[in-house]
Amino acid sequence: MTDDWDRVDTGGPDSDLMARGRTVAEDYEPLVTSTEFDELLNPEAVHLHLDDGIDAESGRFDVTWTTKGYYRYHYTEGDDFNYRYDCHPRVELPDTHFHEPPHAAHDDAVPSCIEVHTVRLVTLAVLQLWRDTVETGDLRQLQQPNPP
Amino acid sequence: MADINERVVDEWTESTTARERIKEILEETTTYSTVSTIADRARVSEPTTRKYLNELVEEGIGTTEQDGRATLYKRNQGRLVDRRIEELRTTCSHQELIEGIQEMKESIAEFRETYDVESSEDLVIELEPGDEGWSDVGQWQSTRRNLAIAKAAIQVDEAHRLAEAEV
Repeated sequence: MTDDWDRVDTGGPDSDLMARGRTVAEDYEPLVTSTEFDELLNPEAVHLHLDDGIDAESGRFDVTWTTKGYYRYHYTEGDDFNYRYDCHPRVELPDTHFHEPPHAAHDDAVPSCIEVHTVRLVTLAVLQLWRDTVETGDLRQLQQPNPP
Repeated sequence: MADINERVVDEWTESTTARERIKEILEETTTYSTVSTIADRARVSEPTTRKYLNELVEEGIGTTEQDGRATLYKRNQGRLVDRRIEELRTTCSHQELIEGIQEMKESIAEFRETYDVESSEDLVIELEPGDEGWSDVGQWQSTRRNLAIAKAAIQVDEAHRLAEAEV
């Protein structure tokens, strides 16, 4: 894994938690057109393909949940547009932080607006923030109601 | 506009019963947790949470551990392993399982070579806080578990085929 997931033991990828996130996304967001795990037997992420985008015509979330309850929701529209909601221990930032678009680089992180913790609620929040941003074209919607 | 956190919590609590929420939280609780922690997350009172948790443990969805006078709860890992074996057995081909097993064995061999230790437990002992390599501890553990599950899926499938052939 990238970023400083490497600093402490965050647990391994949890296929059951990731499958639960996938089910929530499929049930809730009609623009999720297909989903699949990156690997069949030893998955590290589940891909959620979206039939709309913020800068582009389509996008994708790569979602990881670990056995210790940490998560990563990485959104990408290719090399030019990425952002990410993370929850894992980090120096000088809360566990829940947001890597800002367009690069979602390590140094772009700020505290995240997402305070809920369960798979369903985090997934719903991430998808709702994405939908609000797609509909308004306003990137500030990714950190509602106020960017911290 | 309401805060995003309030929006999703309201949507959840309006469309589910207390028991459904407690079941959902229990199924996601990976480490032993108190009734009050689970009650907070499920947005349900503690007495109601305790009552439903005990029912869910009876049904095999959760397991418990005593911590002094407190009972702690988490998801039943064994049940998830059994379900995963059955899922792989019925959805993957024999060839896919064999190839996956090979890949996972190679990943584990790479971890051993990279860190020059025999197991993920040894790696934990080896690493200092802040060292690079912590994410590989979890990765290694998940790979080992998934390898055992894939092997079991092949074994269980063979048992089913043999039992079928005897009739």
